[in-house]
Amino acid sequence: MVKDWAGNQGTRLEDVPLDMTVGELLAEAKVELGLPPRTPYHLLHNDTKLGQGLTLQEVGVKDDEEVTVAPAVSAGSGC
Amino acid sequence: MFRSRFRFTLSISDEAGFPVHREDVQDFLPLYEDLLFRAVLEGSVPNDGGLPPASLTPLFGPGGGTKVVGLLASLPSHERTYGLGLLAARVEEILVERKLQEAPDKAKARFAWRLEAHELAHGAQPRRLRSSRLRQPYPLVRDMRLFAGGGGTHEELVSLFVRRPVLESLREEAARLEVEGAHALVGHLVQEGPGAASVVVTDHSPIEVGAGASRAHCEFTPELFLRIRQQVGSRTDGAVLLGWAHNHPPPACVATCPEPAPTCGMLFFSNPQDHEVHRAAFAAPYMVALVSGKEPGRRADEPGVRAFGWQEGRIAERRFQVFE
Repeated sequence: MVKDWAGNQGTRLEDVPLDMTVGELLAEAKVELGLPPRTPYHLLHNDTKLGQGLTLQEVGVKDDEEVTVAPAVSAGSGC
Repeated sequence: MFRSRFRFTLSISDEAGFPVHREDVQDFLPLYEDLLFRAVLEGSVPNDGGLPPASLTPLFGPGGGTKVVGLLASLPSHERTYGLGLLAARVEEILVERKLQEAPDKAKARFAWRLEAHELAHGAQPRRLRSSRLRQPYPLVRDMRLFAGGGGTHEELVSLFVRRPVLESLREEAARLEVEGAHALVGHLVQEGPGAASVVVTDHSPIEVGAGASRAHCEFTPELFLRIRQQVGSRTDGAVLLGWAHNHPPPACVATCPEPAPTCGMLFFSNPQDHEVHRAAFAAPYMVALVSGKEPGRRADEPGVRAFGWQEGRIAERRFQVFE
């Protein structure tokens, strides 16, 4: 299950292979959740940001566990 | 989320008609949220967290072809037509990102853009993973005693009320801070009757951006968003997250400006920066953003506050009322 940071919405992805990378899972989740394509997002598991090149097995995400998707963004006046 | 028999493509060309950018548009989430929220407020869709199927159909101009002039969004019991204004901010963002223009609103006339729709072949776009979407119901409450502001005028879908101490605190901070700071806005989403609701901001809590802030920017890391969720979730007054606030400090030149009340202003919602934060992190259709900063023609130490939020799937300035 991938949930957005505010817990308002999520997507349950089935049969996710454990050799899938965090980046690949993130790309799937962004499409599923309709998130803005150009904005950088990260997946977090137990409050820890996951490295996007690692596989789910390597980062220790197990079947049926929940990960959170949250953006990395900057507000600003640009002045 | 929308299902559509069409593939939507945004194309931008320069003044000579030469194409400079082309990309598929799939993220119509703000439009779906607007449609669903309206249907829930009108009572035609239950507020149970369900995701009723919706379709998105392009409206073509009288000459036919692939150029889209509007979008028809339909739920089984509710439909609405949307203009293409919701893509304008995206076009600006692309032009800035590709360094085709320095800042939004500058040299915009040099570029033209259009949305095209092409019917998909049956069975196109296979997906890798099977999935099912889940969402929470909108946090609507019906208890008007939660605020003493009275009902909204409802010229807009959602009226906005801000408690005076919140506003005063944001103004006071904007007058003092030389770097950007941010707050989470909390309160209640009050349903006032069919098709009408009010966002009632009762409190705010600082977001600790730490070193990720300067006079011109303020960083929101993924970990920071988790802390905001924990902060709001630990409240015991039933208040929910309604949006965010931040300040735009005056430019450094204000300190040495010979004019006592320079005409420059910092009360804007910048694109792409502020738009991106709102779109990426505060996408619920009732969520708002307050910006505090110098008003044109007024001293920097007398800052004002403006509100922005979702309107028909795009981010626009919002009126608000203050209550005690």
